[in-house]
Amino acid sequence: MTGNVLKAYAPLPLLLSLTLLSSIVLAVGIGSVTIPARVVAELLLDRLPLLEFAETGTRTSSVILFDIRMPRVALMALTGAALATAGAAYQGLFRNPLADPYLVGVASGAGLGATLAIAGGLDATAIGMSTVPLAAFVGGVLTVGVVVMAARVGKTTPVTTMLLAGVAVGAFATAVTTFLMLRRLDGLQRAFNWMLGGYSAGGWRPVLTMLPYLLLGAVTLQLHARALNVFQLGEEQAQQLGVNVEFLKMLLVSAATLMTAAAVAFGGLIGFVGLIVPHALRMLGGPDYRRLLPLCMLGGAAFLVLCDLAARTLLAPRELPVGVITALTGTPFFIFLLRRLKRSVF
Amino acid sequence: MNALSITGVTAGYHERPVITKIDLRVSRSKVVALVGPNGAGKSTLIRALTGVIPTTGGQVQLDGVNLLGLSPLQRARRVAVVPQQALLPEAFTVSEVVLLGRTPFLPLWAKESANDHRISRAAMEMTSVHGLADRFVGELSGGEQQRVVIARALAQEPDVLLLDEPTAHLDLKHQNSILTLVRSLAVDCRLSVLLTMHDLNQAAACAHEVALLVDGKIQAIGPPGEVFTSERLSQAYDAPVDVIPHPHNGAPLVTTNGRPPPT
Repeated sequence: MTGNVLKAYAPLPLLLSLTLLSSIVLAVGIGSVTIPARVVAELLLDRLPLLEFAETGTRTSSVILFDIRMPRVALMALTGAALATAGAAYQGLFRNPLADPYLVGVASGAGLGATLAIAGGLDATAIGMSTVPLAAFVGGVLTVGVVVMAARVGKTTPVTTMLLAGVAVGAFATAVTTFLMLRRLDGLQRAFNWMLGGYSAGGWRPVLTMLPYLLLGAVTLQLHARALNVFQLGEEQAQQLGVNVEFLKMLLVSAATLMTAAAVAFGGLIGFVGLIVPHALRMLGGPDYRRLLPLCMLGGAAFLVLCDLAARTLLAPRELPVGVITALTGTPFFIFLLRRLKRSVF
Repeated sequence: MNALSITGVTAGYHERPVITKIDLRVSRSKVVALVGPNGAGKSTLIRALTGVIPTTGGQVQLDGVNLLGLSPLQRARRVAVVPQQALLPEAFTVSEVVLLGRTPFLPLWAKESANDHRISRAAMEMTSVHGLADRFVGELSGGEQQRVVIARALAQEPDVLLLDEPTAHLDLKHQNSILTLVRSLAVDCRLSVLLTMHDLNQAAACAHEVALLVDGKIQAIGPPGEVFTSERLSQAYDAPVDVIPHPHNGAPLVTTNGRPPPT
């Protein structure tokens, strides 16, 4: 097999964009009240000035569409994009196919932050929204900071040390979380729900809060996508090719951490997206990070929007944690791809 | 003209010097082989020259420019390295890997230009891997992979080429072809080539000069025929060694003599 085979997948960005678009249309239309695609289009056009499309009967649809479904779908799209892109970046940075966005402690740190807020009764609202996601964001970022500082050896931060520190600090944070949850049983259910990635409605506010972190992280990663390619030769060779390895590691870990912490805080602790989507897209679109990272934005968004749709419709009116769906659907698809391409894709 | 000039270089790990006061010159179009027992500091010298480990004393000049004072980026434009066990991303194609050699010349997010492609292409032709350009590096043999790593180094258009054990893990035929390639590259591209080597016979066959490194110090330096003597090598390696002339060309041929080491 030659590299030219990959050129057969040249329309991949277009295909993924179309998939994302249609999954959004599906996801905003389907639910306890079905809104047909035509009505969705009318309602959207109605929002434009000077156009009067919608009939009065669809005002309820309008509320459901704009205030409930669209913010949720947008949040899931951003979360999926952030997790998949950060996962791809970590896999490249650590040259480890098992790496995922939660590798260096974001998840356990966010869990601890959220639990602290719930157990400490800090469940008030600040700047117009619940403090729980804010505490989760801060907890995630601080934990990664602790991991990086613990992993420092002289002027360098070796990735193996960072991995080990991530595991250790993560385990510690999880232990504290469990302790707090059992101390305050009244908050247990809420904290547990949060950790399973249960979506709590919050309108557009979480979406707008998360967006800048996602953009900042994604732009930073994309700017250094070629450097991620050079990292695949190992850190020593990267340095011998003039790459400022230590600076870049810190920059990329920070970018990926901001994205992941924001995604986890508002979208929930959702597994598998950050691990499986980058690998699937590597298999389809090749290992070049300049191409892979944007594909992960599109693919991660589409995947999570569809998974969330399944999570809230399969057992309706009950909702499944979306992490159950990502694992149930992502894993078989991933194994299928793995079996079909019997060569290394990493 | 001394292209690469190393004077009094001391370097090591965690303040403990592994090599002390190394003096070495590598002229353009010349190959110098560093030989010596395990732990003598051969790889340490290579890594110190590339800035992977810091030097604690001495100077390294390249055509009068202080090499150790250059930023990693500037250094990478002049010095290319073929590491001992080069990591290769298996899912990248040969041409993608060789293009990574253009990294020191590319701004942050620029795409490789037609010129970068032309230079990579020429590097692949020089190392005879241009026929493999679209193959995945994970599918290649060890000898082919080593040529890809050398092509990637040549794509940097360096003045100095450093190779750390370039023939380790290769069979006789590929050892021979890699060494022939390295010697001809030195002449054709007017490179100063410094390589480390375990096999003394290969060093004698490939290098214009050999430097015998023992306990972090250079014991002898010069043409292989002068440096490789039975007494000197026996002492350096703490093992009985005979040096006999090669039946075809009279080059020094190093062999253990089978006797127990001197007490």
